[in-house]
Order: sequence, then structure tokens, then C-alpha cells
Amino acid sequence: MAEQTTTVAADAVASAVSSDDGNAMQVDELTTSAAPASGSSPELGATTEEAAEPVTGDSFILGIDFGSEESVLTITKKRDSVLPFLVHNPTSHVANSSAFAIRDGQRLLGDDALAQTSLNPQQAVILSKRFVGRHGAEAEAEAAAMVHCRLEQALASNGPRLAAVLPSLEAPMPVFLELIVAALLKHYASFAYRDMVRYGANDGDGDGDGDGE
Amino acid sequence: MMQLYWQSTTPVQAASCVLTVPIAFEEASRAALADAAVIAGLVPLAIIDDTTAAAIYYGVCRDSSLFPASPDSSAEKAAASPDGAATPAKHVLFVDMGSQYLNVSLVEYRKSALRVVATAHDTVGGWHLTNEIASHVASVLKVGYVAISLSLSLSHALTHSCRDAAEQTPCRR
Repeated sequence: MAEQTTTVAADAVASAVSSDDGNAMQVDELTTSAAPASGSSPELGATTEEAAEPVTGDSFILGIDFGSEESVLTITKKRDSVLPFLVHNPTSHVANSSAFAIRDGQRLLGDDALAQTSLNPQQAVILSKRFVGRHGAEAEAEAAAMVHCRLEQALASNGPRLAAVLPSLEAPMPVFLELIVAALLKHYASFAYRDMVRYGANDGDGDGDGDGE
Repeated sequence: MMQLYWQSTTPVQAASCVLTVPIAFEEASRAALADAAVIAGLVPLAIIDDTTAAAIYYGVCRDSSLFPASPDSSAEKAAASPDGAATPAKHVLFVDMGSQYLNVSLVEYRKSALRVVATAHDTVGGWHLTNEIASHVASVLKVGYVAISLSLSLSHALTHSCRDAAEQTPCRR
């Protein structure tokens, strides 16, 4: 069932977001690697072993704690004994809000979206983590009690999943919560990229001086 | 400064990431979160539990007393018990209360490995506490000012205010 979901979302990647095949292929590797990692006995040195494994050629690993209300990121440098350090956002805070909102046809992410939830709660998606990947039948009553934007079942090839309906979209259609979470993750990752550039080790040539040469 | 910010918002290359989820997360939700990371252009390496991630960080980075490094006897110990079975295990309880989930893990540390002995979880968190405080404040407001009826946006603002007030209240022992 997990593999079915992954395959469907890989289709969603191809249709909704223009993504290359290299990323979609990583999903199958993920399902095999995530299953033992979420088990009960990881090795103590697992993080460093993962760090030594070359995946994309970049030199950092992001640690993402995607929370229901706030999210926190850390950066670990591969093949280095430096401890993970926290990522600060442009307002110098460690915690980023996990809210999503739409205002005047433009999407708002993070703290901007959180401010928008008070002004126009129908256009905001909060607590997306609680309902992502879940099916409508099991979580609809729970969703009706907790969130204010409309969540409804959207027909997916592996069954009805919960999706958000934001009235201010030009053509109001269900938006899968995976896409909202993806937008948030990309938003957070941009802060991490900024810190990588600042710390000068993501310059692409591996010598860590930040000049790219 | 702002120009640097806007320039660097465009990711240059895909980054690997490790995501943490609550223990209560079902397999479908874990897969959906991984899909979201792939859509965002990240390469998810693993999805681990919140408390397990904390335990790994604690074991690797924080508490060196868990694995005392005594240079005179370490080689001897390693020869006697290569799997670390003779060294006494230490147990640490990790509690993680988020806004929606409460996770508790009991982790056993040995010389070269950690093991999650037991886990427990509940779907109650700070969000529910904030809601209770906000609904109490709303009921008090309704008693004092009869005409007030909370609109949706007003109740959102009230919830946020209550949360901020609760977070800024100093803990007293």
C-alpha cells in the first residue's frame, strides 16, 4: 500500500510539477530505506553512514522536523565531524510556521501565512501534517472539527485522499496536501540553502571557500 | 541583504534530507511526506521517528558519559567483549510533546548501538491545550460582554494570542 501511494504521487509529480525523472526514481529507493530506519533498532552511527553515501553530489544533508504548527531544520555536512547546526530563517528565528495561505491569488508560506490565518481563515491551511496522506473516510470528521478551510475527499487512483479546497483559487479545485507540504518544504529548504551559501561550503567545487572555483 | 535572500531562494541543486515524523504516523502519511519532499526537489534518505532522532543526536553529540573513553582499558574491553555485551546498558527516556502528538520512547544505549526498547504515543498536544485556554477565554468574554460573538477570524486571533501568552509565560517551580 505504501508503494502504491508512492507510485501515485510520483505520477502527481510528473503531472502537477515539472520534475525530472531522477527525483521520481528516488522514491523506490526511499521505500526500501525508510522501512528499516523507522524500525526499532537503528545503529548509533547511522547518520554518519548516511552522510558518507554519495547521493546527489552535494555536500550537505538536511534534517527536517516538519511539525504541525512549526518546523525546524538542521544542516549536517557530509564527511565531516561538525555537529548539525540549526537553520535560521530571514527573521533570525529557528522555528518556521507550517501554515499555508492564499491571498490575492498569491500563495503565502510560513509566518506570512500564519498572519493570514487570522485575517482570512477560509483561505489558509493549517495542520496540514495531521491530514497529509490520510483518506477522507477515516479523517473527515476529525478534519471538520479542527481546520477551517474546506478539506474534502479527492479522487485519487489509490482511493479518496483528503485535499484542501481554497475558494480564492481561480478555478477552485482540490489541492492535495502533499503539494502544500512540498511547497512548505521547498520554502524551508531555501533558508537552508541560504545558510549553506553563507557557510561557504556549497560552492560546487568541494573546497569550501565559497567562491565556486 | 534582501537581494541575497531573494537570490538564494532558488535552490541550485537537490539536497538530501532526513525527515522526522511522530510515532503515531501511519505508513501512508510517511509515504505522503516523502512524496512531498520529492516534489520539493529534495532527496529523502530516511524517515525516522522524532524520539529516535533525538536519541541519535543525544547519543552521538551530547552525552559522552554514555560511552566513556578510557584509553588504558578500552582495547582490553574490546577484546573481551567485541559486541559490547559486557558493558552495562544505560536507559534514557525521551519525551517529545509537539502541538499535535505526544511521543515517548525508552532507549537503551550500549557501547556501539542504541535500541528503542518501548514506545508510547498519543494524539494530544499543545494545540489542544491552547484551544482549551482560548475557549475558556471566549466563554469569559461572552459572560462579560453579552453582545460579542466570536467570528472565525476572531477566534483564530484569540487562539494565537493565547498561544503567544502561554509561550511567554515563565515557568515557575
